Amino acid sequence: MARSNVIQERKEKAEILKQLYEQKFKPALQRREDLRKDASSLENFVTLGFILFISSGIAVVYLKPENPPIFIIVMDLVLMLFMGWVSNIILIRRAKYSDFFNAKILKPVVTLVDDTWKFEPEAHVALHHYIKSNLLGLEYINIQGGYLLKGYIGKTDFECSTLTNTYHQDKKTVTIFNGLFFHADFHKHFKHRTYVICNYENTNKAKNIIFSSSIAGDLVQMENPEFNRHFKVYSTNPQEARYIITPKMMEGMIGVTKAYRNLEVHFSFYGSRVYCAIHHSKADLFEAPIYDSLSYRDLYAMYSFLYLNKVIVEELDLNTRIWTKE
Amino acid sequence: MEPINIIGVIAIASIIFLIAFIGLYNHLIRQRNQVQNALGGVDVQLKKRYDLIPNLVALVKQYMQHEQGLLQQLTMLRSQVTTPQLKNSEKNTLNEVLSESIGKVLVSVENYPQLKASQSFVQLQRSLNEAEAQISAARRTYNASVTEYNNAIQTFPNNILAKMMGLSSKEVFRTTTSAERQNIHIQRLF
Repeated sequence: MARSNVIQERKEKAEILKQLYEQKFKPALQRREDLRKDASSLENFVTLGFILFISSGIAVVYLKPENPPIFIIVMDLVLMLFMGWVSNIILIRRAKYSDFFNAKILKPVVTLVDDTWKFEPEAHVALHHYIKSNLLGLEYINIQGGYLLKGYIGKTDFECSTLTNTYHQDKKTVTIFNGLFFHADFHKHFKHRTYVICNYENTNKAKNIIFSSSIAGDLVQMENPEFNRHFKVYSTNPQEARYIITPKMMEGMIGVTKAYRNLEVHFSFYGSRVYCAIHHSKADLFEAPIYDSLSYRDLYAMYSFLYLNKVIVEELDLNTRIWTKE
Repeated sequence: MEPINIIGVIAIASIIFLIAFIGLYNHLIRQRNQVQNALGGVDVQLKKRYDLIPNLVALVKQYMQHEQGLLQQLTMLRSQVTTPQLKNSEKNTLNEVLSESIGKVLVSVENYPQLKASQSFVQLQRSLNEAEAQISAARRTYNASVTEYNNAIQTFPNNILAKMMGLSSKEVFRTTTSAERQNIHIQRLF
């Protein structure tokens, strides 16, 4: 499949997605609207209960600190138990809505993109792949993820899932990485490490990834000025870096970054596999929306991210297997 | 200013100048060595390609009865290009002609479906593609090293020291044969 065909295919299938949305998804979402509204309105209820709880506590402290009225203490206890019970109901309703959304909305969209792929909403890419990529910070304190996709695109096996890597510092949660993580079989053998990192200086993008250039090897200057504006290359073997990152590959990487505008894209090459981390500020890219009904725009954004896997494989031309690696 | 202070200032300035001189000298030497290293890298990859040519000739000659002239040319080029006394420019030109000849052989294989389908030929073709990809990477590395070296010896104040050391600009690798520079017209190949 030629390079531009993937983008063309994405546009064509978007027409089918639109029809699916109007004819299947909207009615299905309407039928389960009660679940979604229950989950969001009960949350409002819990918020109100929490406000009452705090207010009564403040009132006791200021009005009668020596002899707090018994009935207020009893009321607060009952309120706590009640809120606990309601919170449990919210979790159950959310889980049900999420299961429905994954099975009836997301799964058909994945099938539309490629019906051979496996989709596991509760699973994520295995930790050892994150560690091997060396893209996501040197500390793996709290890794969470989901919406695992795996399968083949032509001759290339791949996996992709959402990923969040956080740690706690001074009672705050610091996010090291949040976005999509992809890895696939590369079409050449190589032994050393090469990184292609978003060029923060030239693209005005905020640095959302922790990357230690001191262990990444030497900075390798490439010949394509546009590529150098978007990326910086580091490698423990500059000749191998040029073996991997051919002029055609540079064009492909520019193509990926243009297809997903304003997103930080980073690549890593190790052990004959390519790893790609795409940072996104949204907490959960594929989560069922609770506070609003799903719009076509939100659905298209999810569909577009599911297509990322094909875009990467085709832009990097990973299915061309004319060298010693089959 | 007291004489002792003047001597002190001159001594410190001399030390700083000496450190800078040593730093620049070492930097230029490192750049020159890097170019030599990169050139060695190209030769290593070219050697791997040379080693594949006898296998290619042996495999195709039993099928390609009408291309004996082309195969003889290929064998002759291989022995010429491995001559030790060749200058770099002559070696580059011969390697380019060798690349063209290998290309012609591989295109001619299209006329021999049995050969094209044979597993041995497919594997050999992959090995040749691999060799070409590695040669291309090595040449790009060499060009990057030469560019860095040329920048180092031509910019001020390095150019003063470079002239004293007898260092001169080097040429990047570029195609010398006109055939490779032309856009390939597919029809002309068949």
